[in-house]
Amino acid sequence: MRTGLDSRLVIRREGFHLDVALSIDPGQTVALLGPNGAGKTTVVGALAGLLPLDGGYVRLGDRVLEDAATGTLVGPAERRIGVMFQDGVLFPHLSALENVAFGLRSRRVPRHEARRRAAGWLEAVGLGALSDRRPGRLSGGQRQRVALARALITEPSMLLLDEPFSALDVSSRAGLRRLLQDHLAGFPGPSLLITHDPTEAFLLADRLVVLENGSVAQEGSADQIRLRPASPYAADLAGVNLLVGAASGKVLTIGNHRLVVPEAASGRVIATIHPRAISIHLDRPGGSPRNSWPTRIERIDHHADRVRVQTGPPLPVTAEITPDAQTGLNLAPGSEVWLSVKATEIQVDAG
Amino acid sequence: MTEDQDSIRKASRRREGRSRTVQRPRRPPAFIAIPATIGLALFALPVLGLLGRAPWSRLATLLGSDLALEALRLSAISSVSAAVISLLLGVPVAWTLCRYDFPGRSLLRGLVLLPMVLPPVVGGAALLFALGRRGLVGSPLYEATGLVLPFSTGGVILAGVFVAMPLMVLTVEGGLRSLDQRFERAAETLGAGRWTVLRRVTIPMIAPSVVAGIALTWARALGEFGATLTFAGNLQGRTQTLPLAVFVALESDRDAALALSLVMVIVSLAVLVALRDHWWRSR
Repeated sequence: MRTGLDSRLVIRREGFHLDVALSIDPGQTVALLGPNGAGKTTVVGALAGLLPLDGGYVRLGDRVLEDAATGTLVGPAERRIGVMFQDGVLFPHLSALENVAFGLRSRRVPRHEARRRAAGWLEAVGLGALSDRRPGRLSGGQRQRVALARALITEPSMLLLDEPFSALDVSSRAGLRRLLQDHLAGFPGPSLLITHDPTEAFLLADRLVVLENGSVAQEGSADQIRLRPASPYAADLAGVNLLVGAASGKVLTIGNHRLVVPEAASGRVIATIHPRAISIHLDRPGGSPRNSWPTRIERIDHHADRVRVQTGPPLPVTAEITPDAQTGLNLAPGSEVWLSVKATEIQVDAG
Repeated sequence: MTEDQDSIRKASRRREGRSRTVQRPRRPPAFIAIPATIGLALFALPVLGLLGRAPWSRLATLLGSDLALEALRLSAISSVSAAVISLLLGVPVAWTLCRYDFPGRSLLRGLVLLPMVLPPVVGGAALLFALGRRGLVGSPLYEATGLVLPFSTGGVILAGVFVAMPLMVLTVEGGLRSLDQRFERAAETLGAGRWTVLRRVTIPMIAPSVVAGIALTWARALGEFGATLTFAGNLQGRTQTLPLAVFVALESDRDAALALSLVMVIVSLAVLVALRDHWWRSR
């Protein structure tokens, strides 16, 4: 692991205690997921050198950036860690071009050269025409693109992305996600993506780390977490049904199955359905749900206060019901059932 | 939180946003308008009185006199110097008070703001006891360098700094306090050292506060009377600034006093209006 991240982050605050061991291989993207207040942004601050550690260490390749035991501390300016902050945090008094060039200028690259390279990066994130605009005159998605270019231009050893999508609407989300996918694929160092959206984590990351109350609740691939969620939060995010299909108007085709969705879309989309939104019936259901289909139960997992039911073709999904409902309906693997889901419970994102 | 709750929350936030930008009513009700008119009259009448009594035809001659010219020159030099010194010292003071936590910080902040509430005469007397030729610091200073501050132009500047710098500290500290420190952190992660962060991020972002501070300290130093008189005296050509010259002229030549007062009113009003515009724009 020549340029990978190896860290243990201990930070103690009044009423909050963070203790996280985090390793990321070079070229790998790890998604750090967790509810609000779990300590996600604290992890970013600690890795970037903005919050001193009370214990533990940060190593990047063969460089020791911080070690509480020996007192080693490399400041944020010398860490060479690129950070894409929540909401961008672009300098409001500088143009997009000057924002991107800032890191080079700080490292004493001559002005002309810095501006030339910044212009190239703005081109690469699709904003070549807007280089003179200040952040106040850019849209949320454009600002995040500038923030990405600003973080990448200095060729950092590691990339930290703090909730890059949180302030964006659905359509600019998809564009930024494709851009991030491209750049993360070509980025040689380790990357950490902070998010609370499982869709983004599954699409962008190689591995997930679930952070709760300042410590790692679980880590592994999406499938590993899906099979054995270690906490209700992990179950919640791993259990979400992600379906890739083609949209045409308000109809979504996945394989040879069709779903009615609330908003018209077109092209490749990702539909997200929470397991709690799927109902199980013994007979064909009537009523308002626009989507229902017959299927067979493949597997049933029991968790503390809920039961997760996995179904087979034509549209394999996970549904979540109470233990009482399971006993009441007498469900078991192999049972023939009907599933239904309201169109409004299906979230559609452009893929 | 479900999508529904979330969208409801967003919608209600939008509604709040609308109600805040509701159209302003055309005119205030009587219970506001009447006291407001009296209050505004209180400000406007003295200015009108001054304009009405001003010796317009002899203005050029009056302002061309030695007394007037020397006072104008001295006031220009000392008020600009006081503003520059307040800038160079006041910004670091504001920075220290805002960004660092240390014991006695509240006491220090009180001390910095003291000249704003103290009668300027008392401030001048305190300066005299500290920096006079036999003062606490003044005496060793005189023995070491031969420098005498009281009754010199340097003393006028010092008195101006003493009364005006709190305004610089207040405005700049306010600007620093409302600056989101994430901008400075972002700059650090981009490789900027502390000086670069200050020069390229912090100062440009608090520039409106700094400009306001400069204008306020300059205007305050220009109008300084009590501390100047006590600490620097009233020597024509050396320490007699515009306000002192007005005070002296009131006894001997009322028209000259009016002419000098007029200069101060016009200059100060121009600065305050420009300042107001600046604040307006930066919002």
